[in-house]
Amino acid sequence: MSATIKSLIPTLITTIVAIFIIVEYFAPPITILGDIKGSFTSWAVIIASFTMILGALYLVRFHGLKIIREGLGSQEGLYSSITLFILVLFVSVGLAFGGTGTPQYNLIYMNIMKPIASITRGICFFYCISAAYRAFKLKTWEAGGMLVAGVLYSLRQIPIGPAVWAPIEHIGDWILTYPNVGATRGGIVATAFGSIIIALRTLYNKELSVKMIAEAG
Amino acid sequence: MSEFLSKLDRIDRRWLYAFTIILVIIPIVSPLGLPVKVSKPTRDFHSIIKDLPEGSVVVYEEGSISGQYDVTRAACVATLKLIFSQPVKFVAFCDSADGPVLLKAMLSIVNPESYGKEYGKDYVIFDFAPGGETATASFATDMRKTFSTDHYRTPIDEIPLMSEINSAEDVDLIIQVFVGCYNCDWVVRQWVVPYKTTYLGITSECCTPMIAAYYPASCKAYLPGTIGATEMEILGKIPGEGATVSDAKNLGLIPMILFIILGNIAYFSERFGKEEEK
Amino acid sequence: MTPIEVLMTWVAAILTLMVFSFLWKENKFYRIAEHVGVGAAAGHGTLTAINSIQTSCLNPLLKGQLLLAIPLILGLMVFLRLSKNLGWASRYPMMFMTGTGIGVMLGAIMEGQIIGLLKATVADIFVGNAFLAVSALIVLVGFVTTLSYFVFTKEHKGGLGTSARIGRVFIMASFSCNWSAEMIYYLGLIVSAFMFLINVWIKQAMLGIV
Repeated sequence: MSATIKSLIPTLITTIVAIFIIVEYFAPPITILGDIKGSFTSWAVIIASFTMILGALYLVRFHGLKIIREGLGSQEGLYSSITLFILVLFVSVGLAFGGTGTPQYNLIYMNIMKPIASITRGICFFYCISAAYRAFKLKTWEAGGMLVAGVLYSLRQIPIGPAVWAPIEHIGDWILTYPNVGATRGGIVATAFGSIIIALRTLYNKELSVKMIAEAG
Repeated sequence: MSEFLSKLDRIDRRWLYAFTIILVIIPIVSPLGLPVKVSKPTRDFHSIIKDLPEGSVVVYEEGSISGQYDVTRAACVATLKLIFSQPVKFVAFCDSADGPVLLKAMLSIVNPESYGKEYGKDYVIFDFAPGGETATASFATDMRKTFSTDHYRTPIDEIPLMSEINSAEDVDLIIQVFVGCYNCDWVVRQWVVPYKTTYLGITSECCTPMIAAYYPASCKAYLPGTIGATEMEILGKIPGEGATVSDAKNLGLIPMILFIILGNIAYFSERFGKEEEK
Repeated sequence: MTPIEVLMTWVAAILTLMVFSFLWKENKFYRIAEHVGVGAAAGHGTLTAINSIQTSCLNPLLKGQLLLAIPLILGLMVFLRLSKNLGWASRYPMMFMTGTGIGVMLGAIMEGQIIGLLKATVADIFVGNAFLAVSALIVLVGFVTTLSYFVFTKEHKGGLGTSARIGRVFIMASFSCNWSAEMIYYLGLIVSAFMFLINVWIKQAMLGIV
């Protein structure tokens, strides 16, 4: 009974919902089928919203326990309290002033979240610069080809490349449009086959990773 | 020479960062103003929007995130300006949590009212629908089930524009702003294949190699980040910041190329030196 | 600029410099900025989720769409994941979402990503221009050989081995495009950051130059 409720019924739900949506895709247009598919997908959107809040709750629990364990006076406790304070600030401002579309929320979003998010990604550029001297060596013909193609394509993307040497524009576009597309399409097809197999294994309750995640809950 | 190269190998990398920062700042302070050539995907992008018949319905799927907003903003703004200059209907929704804030910020730059557009009659914006591909599928199947109200809490049935629009069957063009490399698959699977909707993509430079695989079969055209924005601004004669950002990037790549060349000179001189010893 | 805009510009500039300080070395300022970013992202995500639940579920439910009680109950069951004894109940909404995701993906994947791409690759060969036809043949060769590289159920020997080795060259060409595209993207972010610091913070907020 326990295994049925905890494991079998959830798997049945997955299978029934998935098969229904797939049948709707291949069947002739029937209003009732489209309505039920529309309901299923909109319900999944609503459930996804709850999972986002669950993520925030996990974050609050993690940092809350850290503050209790380490104390507010400690360095880690201070960092955790900053995280929680900013989280509460954003939620409070949003709820107090009527959502994310208000000028007040826009002010804190654009001046607190945006700069941190973009610069945290951007500083990777500097690490690539320092790695360029040590790591990007022409040890094999393949590595050489990769490096030359990469440099030519990157010069295509900034105005100075075609300005200094006009053919870079066509060479860069050719590298993107032909060798890259060949490999990317092959990769997309390989990923698509893999996705189909994993999806079918999930429907048959044979996919271990899904079972492990479900059992961890 | 080899002494110089081995010294370079031991140099504190913070000097490299400082050198790079100086080269990045120079064109910001003193723009180089180099010309930009327009690529075929951008030409197609521009002409597809320009050739839209009157009354066409355009759906704009905003998937920008704050970490990439600076790179996609110029392209999105140029696109929005071009769309609002056309006699078409515009429906926007967001598939990223940051989408509503960023879309509103871009619309405040574009100012649709200056093009004679009226909210509710010519354009409408919806909020964020979480769930990734499921949200895209939900919006394509039934817009009313996905969103009961628009961004301003107006019930969808009270919006004049939405009286004849409810699913992808009523849509002529979808423009997706995406920043995850596989997000373009969502629109191909949920809009292009089932409904044969024309699909245009706007993305940052890092996802351009991915969308290029779908061009021109599934994705009719795309804009690759700031260079795409610059090209759109040139084609559409739309003033914007794309040209400024593209110009400012000109010298930033020089340290990378310089150190790759120096690194390889060091490597080969060491390698040939060892072979001579043998 | 209004006083509040000037203040927030200073906040943005200070946070930007705090993140840049990581280039010097790991330090407290960077850690503080990092935690601010995490808190902001979590807060923003929570707010948008609350907004989405309110507009997509609660408001229509209160107006009479009683069927929305089902996703509401399933959504509330998600929080049972926090409980040790009742955590298994959170599988119901999770597996519902998994089923929906599989369903929407599987329907169109064959046509959109397998047959569609194969058709596009073959069709490009039959164009009038010889150079473009040869280039399209290169795409086809890349397509087939890259696919053969991902066959892991058979050892890469003989014909398959040769094909996989050629596929690896094409994969490296794709990696080179991806790598250089990433570089340009990061450079774009850095440039935008410096443009903000110079044009907005220093010129407008500090010196008052518009």
